Amino acid sequence: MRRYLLRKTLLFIPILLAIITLTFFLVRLAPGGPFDRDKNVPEEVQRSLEKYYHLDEPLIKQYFRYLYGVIHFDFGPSFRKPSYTIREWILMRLPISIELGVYSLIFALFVGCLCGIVSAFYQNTWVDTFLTHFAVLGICIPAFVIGPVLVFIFALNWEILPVAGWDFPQQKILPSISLGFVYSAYITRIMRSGIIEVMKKDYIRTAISKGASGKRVLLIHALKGALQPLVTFLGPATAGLLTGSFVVETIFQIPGLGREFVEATFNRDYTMIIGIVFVYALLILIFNLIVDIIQGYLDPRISYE
Amino acid sequence: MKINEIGKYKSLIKKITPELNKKGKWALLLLLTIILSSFIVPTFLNITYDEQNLELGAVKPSYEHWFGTDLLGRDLFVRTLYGIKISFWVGLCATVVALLIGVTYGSISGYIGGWVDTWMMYFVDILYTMPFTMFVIILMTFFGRNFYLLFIAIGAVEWLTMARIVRGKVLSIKQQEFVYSAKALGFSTPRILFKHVIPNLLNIVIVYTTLTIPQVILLEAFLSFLGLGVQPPMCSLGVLIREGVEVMEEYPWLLLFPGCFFVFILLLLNLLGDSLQDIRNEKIG
Amino acid sequence: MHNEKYKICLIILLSVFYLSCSSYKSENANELFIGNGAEVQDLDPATVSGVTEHRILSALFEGLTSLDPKTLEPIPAVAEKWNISDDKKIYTFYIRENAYWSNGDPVVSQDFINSWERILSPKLSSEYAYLLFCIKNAKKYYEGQIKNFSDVGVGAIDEHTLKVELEYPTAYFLTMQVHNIWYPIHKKTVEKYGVINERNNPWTHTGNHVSNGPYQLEEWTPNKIIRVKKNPYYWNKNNVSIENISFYPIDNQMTEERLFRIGYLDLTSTIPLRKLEYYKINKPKSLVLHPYIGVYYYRINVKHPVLSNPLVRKALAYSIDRKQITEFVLKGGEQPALYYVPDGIGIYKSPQDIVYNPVYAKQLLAEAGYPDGKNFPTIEILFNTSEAHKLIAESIQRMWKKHLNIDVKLLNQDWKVYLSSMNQLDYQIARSAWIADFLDPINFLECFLSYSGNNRTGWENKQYDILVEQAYREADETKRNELMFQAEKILLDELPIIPIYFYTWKMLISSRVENFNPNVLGYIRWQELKIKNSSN
Repeated sequence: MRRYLLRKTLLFIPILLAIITLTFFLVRLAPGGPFDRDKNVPEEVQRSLEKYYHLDEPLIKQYFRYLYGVIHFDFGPSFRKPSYTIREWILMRLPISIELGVYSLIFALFVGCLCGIVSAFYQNTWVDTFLTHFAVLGICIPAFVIGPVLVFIFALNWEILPVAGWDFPQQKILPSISLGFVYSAYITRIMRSGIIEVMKKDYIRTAISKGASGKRVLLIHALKGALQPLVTFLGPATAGLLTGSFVVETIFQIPGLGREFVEATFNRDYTMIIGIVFVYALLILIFNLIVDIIQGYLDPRISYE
Repeated sequence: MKINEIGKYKSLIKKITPELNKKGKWALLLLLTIILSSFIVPTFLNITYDEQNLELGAVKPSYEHWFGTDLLGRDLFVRTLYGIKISFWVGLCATVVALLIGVTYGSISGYIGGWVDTWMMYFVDILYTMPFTMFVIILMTFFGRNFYLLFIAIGAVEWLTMARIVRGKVLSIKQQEFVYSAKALGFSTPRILFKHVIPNLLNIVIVYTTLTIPQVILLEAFLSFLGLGVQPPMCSLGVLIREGVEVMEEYPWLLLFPGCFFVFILLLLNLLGDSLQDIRNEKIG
Repeated sequence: MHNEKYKICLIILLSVFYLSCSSYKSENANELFIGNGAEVQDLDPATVSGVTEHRILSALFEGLTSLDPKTLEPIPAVAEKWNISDDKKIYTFYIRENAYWSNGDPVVSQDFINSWERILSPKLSSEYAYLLFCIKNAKKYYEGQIKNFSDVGVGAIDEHTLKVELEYPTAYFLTMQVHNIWYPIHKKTVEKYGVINERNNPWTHTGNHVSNGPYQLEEWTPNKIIRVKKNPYYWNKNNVSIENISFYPIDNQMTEERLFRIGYLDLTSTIPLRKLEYYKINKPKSLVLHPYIGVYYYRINVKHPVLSNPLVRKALAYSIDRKQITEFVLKGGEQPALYYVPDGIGIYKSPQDIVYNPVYAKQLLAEAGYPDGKNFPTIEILFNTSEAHKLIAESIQRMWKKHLNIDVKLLNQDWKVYLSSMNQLDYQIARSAWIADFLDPINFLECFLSYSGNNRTGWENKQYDILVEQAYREADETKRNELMFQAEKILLDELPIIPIYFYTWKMLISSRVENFNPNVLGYIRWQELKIKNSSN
C-alpha cells in the first residue's frame, strides 16, 4: 500500500509536466494575444510589452523559461494584473473556491445520500417516485437558473438572505446550494440505483432470509455496496465543484478562482491560465488518489497492482 | 460472425421494446410526439422562428402568440419548437460520440488492467484537468463554424466521465465467475469484451445516458453563453432558458415555456431510462 | 423525541433569521458604495487603460487641472493657475503651495516630470503613452531617437512652476489633464517597492499606495473591494464631504442591479438592458440616462470585393432604421447616429445626416449592379459576444433582408478572437465602437487616418489624412472646426463605417447621493458629491 502510494505520487510529476506542456502550447494556438485591445495599442508599445514579457522569443525558449520557473514554484507575473504575481494571485483566491466547493459538497452529500437512501428503501412507493423525479429536475436545472431563482425568492422577495458577497456565513448559503444542487441530484440517483442493485445480490438475500432486519441489512451491507459507485462519482464531482464554480461565482460575486480562470482564458492571460490549470490538475490528481484508496478499502477485490 | 453479433443485439432491441412497461411506453410515445412535432409543426405555421416585430416587443401569451413573444417580438411558440429541434440534435450527436468513445475506452482499460489501465486512466486524468473553455475556443477557430463539429467536440469532452464509470464497473465484472469461465474456455479478449462484458454494462450505461443528454444540452447553453454555441438567430432550448432567466422578473413566460418543455423532455427521457433499466434488472434478477 | 427535533429546527431557522437581520452593510452614514464593473488591472495611473480604473484613480489622484462636471471647462486643481503663450504652444503651470501627497510630502513640479518620464520610458510600455506625444520631442524620446529626457519639452522652473512645451498647439491640452495618464507620481514610493519603470511593482497594494487626490487608498482586496478614505493632506479637504468610498468590482450586471435594488449600492457602473423599462416606469429618479461621447458603428472591410463599392456601403447605411433600434431594442435614450462625431463636444457640428431611406437605398444597390439584391453574396456581420450586440445585429439582419433583399449571416466570436479578426481584416462587417479618450472631435476622426492602428477597415483617403493633420496643427478654433468638418464629410460620403447610435451614460444612483452632475464624459468628481442627511 505504501509503495503504491509512493508510486502514484511520483507519477504526479510526469502528468503535471504533460499538462503544463499541453496547456502552454494550447493557449498560444488560440487567436488573439494578451495585449490586443479595443483601442489598438501603437506598434512600438506592443513591441516593448512583448519584449518585457519575453513574448518575442522563440516559443521553445519561452517554454523552457517557464518550466524553469515552475520548478521554483514561480509561475511568472500576470499580464493583466501587473502588480501581482500568479502565485500571489492564486494563493489569494484558491481558498475561497475550495471553501465554496466544500460547502457545496457537504450540501450535496447530505441531501443526496438522504434522498437516495429513503428512495431506495421505499422503492416504488410515492416517496420514491417523488424523489426520483425531483432528482431529475435537479439535474435539469443548471446553476445559472437555480442561482437567480434562489436569489429572487430568498433575497429579493423574502429578504432573509443576502443577494451576493462572501464575507458573512449567511452569504454562503445560497451559493453553496446553487452549486451543490445538481450534484445532490446525481448522488440521489447513484445512491438509489446502487442500493437497489446491491439489495438484489445473493448475499443480501441470504442475510434477509436468515432473518436479519431490513434496516440493518440496508445500513450495513447495501450502503457499503452503494458507496463504491458514489466514491467513483465523487472524484470527478469534487473536481467539478472546484473548477466549475464559474457561474455561481459570477452570480454571487464571489472572488474565487473559477471566475478568474474564465476571465484569464478570455483575456489570454497566458501565465494565469497555465497557473490555474496547474493548480486544478494538482487538486484533481489528489482527489483521484483519495478516491482510489477509498475504493480499494471498500472493494478489496480491486488490487493495487 | 460480425453479422451474427449485430443480429444478436437487434433481437435484444426487439425483445426490449414490447417489454417496456406502461410508463416507459408512454414516455417513448410522448417524446417521439414532441420531437416529431418540433420538426413538422413549424412547416404549417406562417411565422418563422426569426421573424421580428420590434414595435410589438415582448407581449404576454395571447391567442395570436400562444407562448407570447420575446424582446424582439419573435413568436416564442415557434422558437421553442425550433429550440427543441436543435437541442435534440445536439444531445443526440454529442451523446452518441461520448458513448462510443467512453464505453470502448473504459471497458478496454478496465478489462486489460495492469499498466495499460494505469496509463489509460492517467490520460483521462490529464484530459480532465485541461481547460475546457480554452479547448473549445481553439476548436471553434480551427474547424470554422461547423454546427455539428461543435457537438462532436462536446462529445469528445463528455466521454471522460463515462469512461471512468464504465471502467469501475468492468473492474468488478471482470472478477465474476462467468468471465473467468469464458477465459477458461479460451475465448479471445475482444469476444469476451463485446459479448460478455459490455452487455453487462448496459445497465449503468443507460442510466448514465439519460444523465448525459441533459448535461450536453446544458453544456451547449453554457457555450452559447460564452459565444461558442449555436449562432443567432438560431436558438436552442438552453439558449432560450438562459435568456429567459435574465428577464424572469419582467417577462416570466420567456423562462416558463422553454423551461417547462426542457424539464418535461428530460423527465420523459428519464422515465424511458428507468423502464429500460427495470427490464435489465429483471433479466439479471 | 419529535419535539426535540422541532426545537432544533426552530432554533436553526431563528438563528438564520437573526443573522440575516443583522446588517451586512457597515453603518457608516457618510460612506458611498459604488458598483464599479470589472476588477481593476492595477491602481498605477501609468499602466491602466480602462474606464473602471479611471473612476477610482480620479478619486485617488489629481492632475494639474480638472474639469467642472457641469460645463466640462478646465478648472484649477493641483495647478492654481496657468499661463498660455500666444502661439498656444507653451503652458506654464503654477502648482499650489498647499498641495500634498497622502504621506505629507509636498507635490512639486518634479513629481509630474517623474511621472511623464516614467510613462515615456519604453520599458514600462504604458498603453496610453501616445497621449503624451503632444509634448515636444516626447515621441522621439519614446522611440529612442532622443536619449536625454531633458530634451523633452517639460521643465521645472522651480519647485512650484512647471513649463510644458508642446509639439503643436493642442486645443484640448487642458481638458485632457483629467485623464489618469497625466497624474503625478510619488517616485520614492514607487522605487521603494520595485524598479521605477518596470511593471509588476507592488507599490499599488494596500498600505503602500501614495496619492495626491482627495482620497487615499485604504484597502484593495482584489475582486472584492477597493476602499478609499479622505486624504487628510489634500489641499481642498474642507470641501470634500464624503469620508469613505467603497468600490466593488461587480462584473455581472444583473448582480449589480440586484445589489442596488436592496440598497446595498449607491451608484452602479451600468444598468442591464432588460431592467431599463422597470426603472423608467417605477423609479425614474434612480435612473441616469445622459448622452455620452461614444459612437456605436459597423465597420466595413473595404477590401472585400463587393463592399469595396461605396454605393453598396451607402445602400447598407441608408437602409438601417436607427430609430427602431434605439427605441425598441436599446430603450436607453440613445440617439440614432446620423453622423460619426457625437454631439456635445464644444461647438463642433457634424456635416450631414445619413437618413433612413429604404427606397433610395434600394436604388443605390441597383446602381451598384445588384437590382433587388440579385447576385449579392451573403455577407457576414461579426460581433463580440454580448446580448445587446446580438439583438442589434439580428434586427439589422432583418432590415437588410427586408429593404435590400440581401442575405446576412451573423457571427459572434469571443472578445480576443474578434479583435484579432478585426486586426487582420478577416471580416466583412464588424460591430465596433469608439469612446472618446478626451473631449475633442479629433479623437474620433484620427481613428480613420490611413496609418492609424484603429482604422481596421482598409480604408484610406489622402485628402482625409491631410485635413486631419492640418486640424492637429491649427490653433484657431473656427478654422480647426472647419477642417474637421470637411474630414468628417469625406468619411460620411465614403462610409467605411456605418454609424448606428450614440451611447448614453446609463447607471443607477440612489436618492442618498446629492450634487451629482452627469456629463457627456461620464466623469464623476467624487469630492463634490454629498450624502443626504450626513453629519457634516
